[in-house]
Amino acid sequence: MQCERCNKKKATVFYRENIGGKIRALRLCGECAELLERAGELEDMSTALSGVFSPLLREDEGVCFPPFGVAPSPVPRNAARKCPACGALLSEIAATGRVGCAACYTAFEAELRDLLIGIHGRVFHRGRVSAGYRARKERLERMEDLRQQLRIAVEAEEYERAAGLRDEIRGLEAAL
Amino acid sequence: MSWYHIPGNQQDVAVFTRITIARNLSGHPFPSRLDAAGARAVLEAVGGVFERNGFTRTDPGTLSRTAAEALAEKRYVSPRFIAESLPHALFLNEPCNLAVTVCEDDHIRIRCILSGLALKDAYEGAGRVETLLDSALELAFDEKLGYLTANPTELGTALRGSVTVCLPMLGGAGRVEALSRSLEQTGLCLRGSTVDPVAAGWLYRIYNRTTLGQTEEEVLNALEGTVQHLIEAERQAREGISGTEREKLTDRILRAEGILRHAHMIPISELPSLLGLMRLGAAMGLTPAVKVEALTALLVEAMPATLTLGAEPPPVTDAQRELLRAKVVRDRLFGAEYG
Repeated sequence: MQCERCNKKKATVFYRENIGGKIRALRLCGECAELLERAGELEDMSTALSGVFSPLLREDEGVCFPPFGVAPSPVPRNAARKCPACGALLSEIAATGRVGCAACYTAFEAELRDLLIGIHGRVFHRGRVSAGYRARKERLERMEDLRQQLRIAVEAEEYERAAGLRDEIRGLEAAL
Repeated sequence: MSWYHIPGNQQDVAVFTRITIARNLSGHPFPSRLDAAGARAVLEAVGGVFERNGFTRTDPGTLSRTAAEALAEKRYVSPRFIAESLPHALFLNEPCNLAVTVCEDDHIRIRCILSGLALKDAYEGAGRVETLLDSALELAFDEKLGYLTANPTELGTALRGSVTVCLPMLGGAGRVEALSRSLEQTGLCLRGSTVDPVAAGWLYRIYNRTTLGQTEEEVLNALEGTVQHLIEAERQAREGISGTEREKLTDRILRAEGILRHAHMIPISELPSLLGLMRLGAAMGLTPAVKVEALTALLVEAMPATLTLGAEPPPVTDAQRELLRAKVVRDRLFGAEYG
């Protein structure tokens, strides 16, 4: 893919902006990207995709290529597949470099996996977690603990205690 | 008092630090797939949290173009945000250097900006805001992928730490390209103009490119270590220059001071390199009259929109702005001398 500005060098920077709802996407070589950035024509280059999304942009290949020239992935490319939650198409995600909603990550997990490895080198989060997730995790752990206690109570024929534990588990299940 | 008025840590090289944390609400499509009603619902939910906590709401759509551009010059918002067509807003706590944009690429972007090198303090500031949000609203989060963002390049911590540094010696010697290449495998990125570093005032930005798989502390420690390495390399180059080269550099710095002191008009294109030379001159003890924090302040105050907003009557033509810029620069840098 050639740079859209100089038409000479290979495009390695994939830039996208949304100004007043008008989307502008540019495929540029490194030098032209820098010239335009310096001229103030490209705003947020930190989110520009330097070659990372280029594999998904190769519409004619029919397969999803992992980045950095690794062998083609066997994952079949289905540009018309939709996210069931927000309706975003895989082809739109490839073209814009943006997913439509949180559920897109589940809907397109196979296609995005190689991409994420290419971008980050890893696919497992470490670090801060949300309060909602922490609360859910604590609830699940508490439920597991209660189930264990329930088994012991049933074995010991302590049915009144078992009923109390069962109600508490049901309450936690409902909260999840 | 804003971030650019406060003296920064290691400001002989480090100009300013910015931490950006992106977050999205659970159960709402990301902004690219929101309609106006959906965006208003997000704004209402998020806005309530910030207004209760001392932030002032600004709707860029209600501002003049100049006032909106001034917000971008202060690095609180991106120019793209100003022109966003969906309902969107900025929540600003200026004394604390905190800015939150709602309905940019993600539902929420929290920014903390501090002068000099201050990654940990800036993260602490942005983190406090994130905690406010997290305790009030359900955020889009996945155990494996971390915080879910519109852009897959920001998944995980969704944290971008960035330090802008002034490297006239390394940039002038063409050493930045090699340094930039050496960082490619580290998940960090050094960007700036390699085509015309002089016109850009030898300003470079170093930031973390990757966000998934490393904790916030690990990323910030790696970034801080690399920035510190760059600072040391620049200082060594400043100290190591001698003989004729030093005389030539001294001449260049003092000529730049002469222009800033006496020029009647200063076009915006000339300013970054003049300020870069002053930062170098101050560090080398050549321009004792110049306070380094004033140079950082001018990187905001002498920009077209901020300059225009601060004047009464406001300049209209480029020539009027250049006249005013020369005066503002003179007052900021040498005002005490002229009373």
